[in-house]
Amino acid sequence: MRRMILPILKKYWKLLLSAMLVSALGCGIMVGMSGAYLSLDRSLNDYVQEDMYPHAFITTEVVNRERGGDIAALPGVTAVNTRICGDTFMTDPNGRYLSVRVFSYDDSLLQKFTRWDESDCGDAETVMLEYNFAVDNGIKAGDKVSFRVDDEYRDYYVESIVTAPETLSVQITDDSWGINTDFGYAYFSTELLKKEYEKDREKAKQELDDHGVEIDDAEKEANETLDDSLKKLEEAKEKLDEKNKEFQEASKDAREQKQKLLDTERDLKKTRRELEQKIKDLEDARKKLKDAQKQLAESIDKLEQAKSSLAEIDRNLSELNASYDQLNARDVKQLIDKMRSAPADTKLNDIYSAFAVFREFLGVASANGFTYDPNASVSEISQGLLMFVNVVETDYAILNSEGAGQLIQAAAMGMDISGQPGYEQLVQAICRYDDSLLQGGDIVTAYQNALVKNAALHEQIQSGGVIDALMLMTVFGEGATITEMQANLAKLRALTDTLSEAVGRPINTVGELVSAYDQTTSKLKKSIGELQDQRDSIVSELDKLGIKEKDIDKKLRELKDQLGDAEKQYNEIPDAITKLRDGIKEIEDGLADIPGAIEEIDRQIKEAQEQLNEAYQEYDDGRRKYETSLADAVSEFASLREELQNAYKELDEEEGYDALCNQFLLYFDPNMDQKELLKKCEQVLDDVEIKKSFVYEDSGVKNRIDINLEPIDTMSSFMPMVFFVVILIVVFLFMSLIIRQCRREIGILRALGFTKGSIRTLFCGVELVVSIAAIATGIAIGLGVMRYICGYYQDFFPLPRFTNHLNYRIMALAAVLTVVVGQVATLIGTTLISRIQPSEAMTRPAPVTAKTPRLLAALTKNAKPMVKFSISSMLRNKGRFVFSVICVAASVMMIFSSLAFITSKNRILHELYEQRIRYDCQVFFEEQPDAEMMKEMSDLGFTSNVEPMIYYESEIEFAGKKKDAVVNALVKDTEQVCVFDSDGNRLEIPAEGIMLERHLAEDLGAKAGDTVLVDGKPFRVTEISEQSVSRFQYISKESASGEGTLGCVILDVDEADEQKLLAYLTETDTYLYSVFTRLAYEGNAKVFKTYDLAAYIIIGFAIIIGLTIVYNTTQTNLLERKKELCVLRTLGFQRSEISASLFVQSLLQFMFSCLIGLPAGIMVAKTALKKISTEGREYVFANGPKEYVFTILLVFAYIVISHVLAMNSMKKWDLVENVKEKE
Amino acid sequence: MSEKNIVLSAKHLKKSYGKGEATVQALSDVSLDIYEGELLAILGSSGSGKSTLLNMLGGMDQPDEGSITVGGRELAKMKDKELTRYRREDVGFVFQSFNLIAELTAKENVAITASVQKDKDIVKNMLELVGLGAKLNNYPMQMSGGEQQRVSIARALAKDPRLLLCDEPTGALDFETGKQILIALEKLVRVHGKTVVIVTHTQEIGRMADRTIRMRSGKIIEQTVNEAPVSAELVEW
Repeated sequence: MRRMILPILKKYWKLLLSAMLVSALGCGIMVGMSGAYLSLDRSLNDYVQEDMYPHAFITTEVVNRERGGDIAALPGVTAVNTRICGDTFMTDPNGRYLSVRVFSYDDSLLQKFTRWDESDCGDAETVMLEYNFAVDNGIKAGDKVSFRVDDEYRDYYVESIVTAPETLSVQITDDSWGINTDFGYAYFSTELLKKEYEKDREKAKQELDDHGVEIDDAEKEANETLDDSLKKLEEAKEKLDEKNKEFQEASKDAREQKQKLLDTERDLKKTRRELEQKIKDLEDARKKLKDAQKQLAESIDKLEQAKSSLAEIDRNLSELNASYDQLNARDVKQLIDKMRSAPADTKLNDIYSAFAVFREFLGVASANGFTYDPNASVSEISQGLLMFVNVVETDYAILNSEGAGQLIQAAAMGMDISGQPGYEQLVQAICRYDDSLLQGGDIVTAYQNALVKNAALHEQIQSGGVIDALMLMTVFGEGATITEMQANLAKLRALTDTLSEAVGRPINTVGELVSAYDQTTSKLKKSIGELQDQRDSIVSELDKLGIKEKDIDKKLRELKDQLGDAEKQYNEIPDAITKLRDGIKEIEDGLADIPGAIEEIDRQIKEAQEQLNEAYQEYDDGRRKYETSLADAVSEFASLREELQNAYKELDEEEGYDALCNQFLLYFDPNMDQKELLKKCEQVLDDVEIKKSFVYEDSGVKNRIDINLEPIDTMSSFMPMVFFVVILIVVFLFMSLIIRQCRREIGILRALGFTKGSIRTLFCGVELVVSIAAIATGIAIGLGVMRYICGYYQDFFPLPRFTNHLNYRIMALAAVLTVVVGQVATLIGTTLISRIQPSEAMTRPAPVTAKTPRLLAALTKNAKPMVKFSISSMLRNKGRFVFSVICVAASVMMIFSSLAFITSKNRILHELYEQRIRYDCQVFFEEQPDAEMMKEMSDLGFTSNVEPMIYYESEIEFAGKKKDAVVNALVKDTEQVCVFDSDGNRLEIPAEGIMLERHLAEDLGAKAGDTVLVDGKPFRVTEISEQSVSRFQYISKESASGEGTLGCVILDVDEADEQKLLAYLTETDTYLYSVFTRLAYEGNAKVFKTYDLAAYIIIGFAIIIGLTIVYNTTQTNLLERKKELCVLRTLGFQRSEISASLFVQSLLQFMFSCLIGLPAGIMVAKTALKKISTEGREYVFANGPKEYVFTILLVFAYIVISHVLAMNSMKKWDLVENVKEKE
Repeated sequence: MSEKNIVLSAKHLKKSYGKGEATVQALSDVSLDIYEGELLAILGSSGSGKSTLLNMLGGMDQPDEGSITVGGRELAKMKDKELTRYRREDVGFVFQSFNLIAELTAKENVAITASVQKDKDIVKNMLELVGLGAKLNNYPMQMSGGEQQRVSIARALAKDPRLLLCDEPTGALDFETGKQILIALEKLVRVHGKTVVIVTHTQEIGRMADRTIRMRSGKIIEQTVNEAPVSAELVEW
């Protein structure tokens, strides 16, 4: 059976290797991160042994050390150390100013110190510096530093760099969120201090002696000075009296001069009034002239207008009269009268036509024997012609009658026809046309001629409208010869045109003509009448003005002349006025000078008087001062001598330095209540002022360490643990999957007669090999990870010694769990497969076609065959798909939750240093600086926006609940601190009331609008602010009262000027230390980098696991479908097409993984962040769209890479062999 | 025969497998032309090199020496993508073991290669051509071997290849079913004018071919032109 292990390992080496690697990564991260944390923890403990820290401190005013003995006598107090402490400043070897707290130490305290660096300084005066402070500022043993002692800096050599009780409090400072590496601790030996004290005492005594001599000298000098000043005072008095006399005389002259000036002023004012009256008169005259001009111009305009109107009327009248006369001409009237007698509807054109026909027919008739009198009227001629027509028509009847024909025929036959009835009438008729018969001509021939001529006339008469024309002419041609008729008709045409134009319409009939004539003449007559009336009216108007029509032009000339004169006068007046005004101006100038002159005189008198008064006053003051000074000097010198005597006495009475202390370091029985013990100790010291006291547990030091180590601990234990659990699940699934892959082998073994037990043993053996390899590899990886992280911790924590410690418990746990999980998975897998019949196990599982879920089948019914092929490939092994999804989801979860750590701490940094704190530096003082000092700090030249900030450590009470909290009082409109609510809206510092921080408000149960008690004083809660760290309550400086726990000033200063600021501050009395925002940010960012490291390691491992799993899944899928894929290649499918179709699976895998992994990641992240959050610092889940996108893209990227890598193996496939391979 | 167009021309093909003493000469200087519209049968016993030759003609394998020219292009000079395109557009394969995709229906199996054709009804037409118009939606599991092979032929034909290469098409079938397949192939040549190459170890099948090539130990030992090929109906083995 053991021989089978190797072949199985060989066949499934890739899968097993992957499982081993995944498992190894889990172990590795557990071992590595836990080891690193353990190393850090141990090294820290090694460095800051907690037993060096006293159980309690009491800081008092300076008292005798023996009081320590009183405390030590208390039951429960195991030991008491005493020391002197105080704050001062020092400069490092580079001359940088540093705030420092100085302590004395004696042999008993020295035992608590651990020396990390020493230097032999010989007999020089030395100091010991706290390790962390020294390292941060680059100070080494042997360096020379200066300490400020009594306003001067004294040099000391650094003998040792030590860890001491104070080390704990600076180890990881973050409580104020301002890491202050400029604030340090220095230790001087009591002996040195005593020596210096004695030296100072001697010096002080000598100073007192010198001071006594100085007092004597000063008294003598003061007396001399006083005598001298009295003498000077009397001399000055004499000179003053002389000056007074001169002044009285000068003031008399000045008063006379003033009277003269007043007289001149009165005269000038009178003259000015007269001139002003003249100007007024001239202006009135000018106004009148202007009016006259206006009137004249108006008269001229009117006259011109009348003249023009009359001319226009006359012209129009002339035209109208001409027209009227034309129409009333006799001939026109006659013509119209004739028209009136004619039928009204006769058309004018008919008349013209009738006259033309008349004339034409007259010509024809005349040719046929018609005669007429040329002087006869047309009417008469027409009548004649009508008769002629009658004759012609009668002749026509005769000539064309039957009888006539017969007669002519008989005549032609030679018969005598005369006497025949009708002969005569015929002959008459013929003769009228052919007189040849009368001359003996042939009747037949004559008849023929007559017949032709008559017929021609008849035809003209019948066809030419002759009769109608002649009839019309009998009417219209009455009284007019043909010539006159022609002229009349021409006139008629002209008249018709004129009237047609006048009435604005065409005239066609006689009636219309007459009507138009009447209308036009009437209208003309009316217009003439109207014009005449207008004219008469104008003439009448002129008459009223006394102007005759003929005199208009004369009158106009007169008026224009008058106007010219007026204008001339008008234009001359301004010059006159200007001259007068110049005169007034001169007067006013004169007047203006007078008050000034008077005032000047008054002023000079007054000034002189005042000077005199002042001089007298000065003299009086000098005299009084002299007297006071004399008294003061006597008193002061007496007082100085008394003080000197007291100082001598005090110096003589002073106890030795070694008898003094102001701090008690207390060590208690650990089993007793430390706070109670501290109270008892304080009671022993009830006669002295206790400045500060606290027990170690309440000091915040421990808390500070926890605050910083907790996240590191979580990142080093919780996250790897979560990761490891996930890995175990993955390993479990992976092993189950591998066992399922071995189904065929298990079937063959079963067929060969192997028992189920032996098969289980075989596969468990294989798994054990894998597990052991995984544990070994895991430990190797873990060691690497541990070394890497430890290296990082060493960079961050400047520990003098850093030792690496493997966490064997965790290592063992990881190893055991790896083996157990692997074995369990193998056992379950082999047991399940062993149950399948060998024959069935040896064959491939039935194709999936019959098992395709109905829903999926329906959904993919119309899908392209390649898509369906891809989905069926995925469904062929659902378990593997699910496994892969779970693994990738785990990877998503780990990446996303790790990112949450980074974003959360970045948010804290952002909130504090980019949003809230806007100032460059926060300076702490023992007491709040006054206005004068604030101004001084503002005027330094390199500072700006200097504002006070009072720092209160207060107790806030609401509804019976009390909480300690820090309250900051700020200038109301400050821009140096910006506070926001939970929605990110900026909040104003309340003018009255208090802005509470959300966590505190929740703890107290207070809301906006409630009133809380701040150190007993009521404040209304105006707003609730949101602060993850350094949770402060804000009030306005205006509403603040009391001095505050610490005085504080916030300001802006350039980095280059920071040392200048410190140099200034160390010269001030109450300065404590400064926190530069820049340094604080850098310090905190450095702390946070440790979290980043852990997060990146987990992300890296998560990627490796995801990549491995996806690669394996994809490749297993490929191998399973090797034959089908080769067939597709044979059928002409490109590798890229196959790859694209199979990528559908990877995409689905990716989508499901994200859907599961992201919510899981959120859950894990929130749990972990909650775990590391402390009372003073809240890690908020702050992953935003960027982190989601980053996680998704990262996972997508490694899925694509895995897919591409897996697909690459297709290149090596032998198409021929794979196509032939049997199922 | 020489009047017909040459579809494919293979010259001096050589191929060997293995190294040293274990070298097997699969093909030794094999040359042949395949003419348009002919039914060519390549006969030979197992190991004679006939399948190796067929794989080379189909662009699935490359000769060590010699050349195969199709439409003026030499297969050996083609890049992988071009060779794939050659298999996709110019050649249709019919395998002994059908090689259908089990999860796809008959219609889908044919459609998977029919994408090169614009004719949307080609899938149905091809399946009807091989007598499977009524079993369009059957999965391979639901069909007999003969039906599966006919689906395989329809799949090969759906892309209207220049050349249909059949590797032991009756090898996995019983006599009756095998005969049906041969009848279908004969119909493709005689009725539809396709060019079909059948590789088989069954000598009798050579009777229905226009031309027969016999191979032994990687060499062509005989080439026969059948003046009067018999009908597939009459072929017995």
